[in-house]
Amino acid sequence: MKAEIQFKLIWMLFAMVLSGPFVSHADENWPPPLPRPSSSGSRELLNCSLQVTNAYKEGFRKRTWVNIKNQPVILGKSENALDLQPVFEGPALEAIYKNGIVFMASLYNNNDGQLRIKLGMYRTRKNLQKFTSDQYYLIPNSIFYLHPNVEQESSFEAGDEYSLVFNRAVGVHTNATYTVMNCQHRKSLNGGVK
Amino acid sequence: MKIPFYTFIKVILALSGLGVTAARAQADTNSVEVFRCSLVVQDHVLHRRNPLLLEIKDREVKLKKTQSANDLQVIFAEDELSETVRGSLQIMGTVVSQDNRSQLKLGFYSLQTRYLKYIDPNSFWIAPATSNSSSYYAHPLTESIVRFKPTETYNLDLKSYPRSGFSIGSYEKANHVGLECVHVRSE
Repeated sequence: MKAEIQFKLIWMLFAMVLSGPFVSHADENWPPPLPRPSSSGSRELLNCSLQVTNAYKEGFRKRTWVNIKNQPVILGKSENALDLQPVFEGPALEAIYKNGIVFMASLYNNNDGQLRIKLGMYRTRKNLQKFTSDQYYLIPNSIFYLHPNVEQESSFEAGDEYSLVFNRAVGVHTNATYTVMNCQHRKSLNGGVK
Repeated sequence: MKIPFYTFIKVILALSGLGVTAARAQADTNSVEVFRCSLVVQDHVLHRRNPLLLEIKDREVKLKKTQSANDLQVIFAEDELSETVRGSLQIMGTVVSQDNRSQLKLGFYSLQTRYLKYIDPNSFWIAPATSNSSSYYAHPLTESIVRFKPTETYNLDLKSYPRSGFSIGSYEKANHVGLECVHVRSE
């Protein structure tokens, strides 16, 4: 009897440890919703594409996990470079990566008044280290923040095109290593860069 | 006078080849863009007292205009970074000039042994035959391609962290590599 209880206790402990990583977000709103830019003020319409494949992996048949082409994305004016807005996110992307990978952008004026765009790939993480909004993007009304994997920044002008390539696995699919995000500016809404 | 068909084809091919070579040579040598590039390698994960591991400021870098995005030029060489990141990281870039528009490509690359079938100069940068690492090619970790505009500033940052699925080198504290290049002038 004693051995049976001991076995059950050890089994429960083992099960808890094993299931820990998989249910750690179960009590949270996962993935946490990301706020959209407000409908007022100047906004920019971009067409963005995202492709996740196993390109350049020798010995594997070609596989594509994500192939989104020319998705319209509206970016409002950000307060600063850390004031990110979603480009690609949500349950569909989460179904592939399973670890909160999102693609974000910010459109902001730097100290010289120049309009700049930041594009990046981020991972949603619990803010256990108590980062502040001066360091990273904190997702409103949640305990999560966005930790950058890769970011690029350049000036923003009408008609510009931006590509960001990342060539390492970041999700649960270890062969989904080749990620390409591409955005091209289409037009300005409510007055913008034109 | 009759010209044999195959001779005619050979002459046409040779002339077109000369034309392509000449155009490429012109694009390669006629224009150079000068940048001032800075690099930081640091630990961004924890609030450490001395997170900065390497800083190189305002290096003048000349990038030739090229016609191929794989015709990369070294900005920060592998031997400058290998001790800090404990890996074969090399930072390269190029200004690609095609169809009357120029694009700037900046990237972080891992120098790897060239042993796989698909590694050819059409897809990757191959280390020059004169260098010690001529049997190596540059496997991209991340690349940024944007429209090239004079006097602009371009940034690329790569950050890894525990359980991020990738690492920059084998030294865990070298988890943030940041590159900033400012265009200075054209020559």
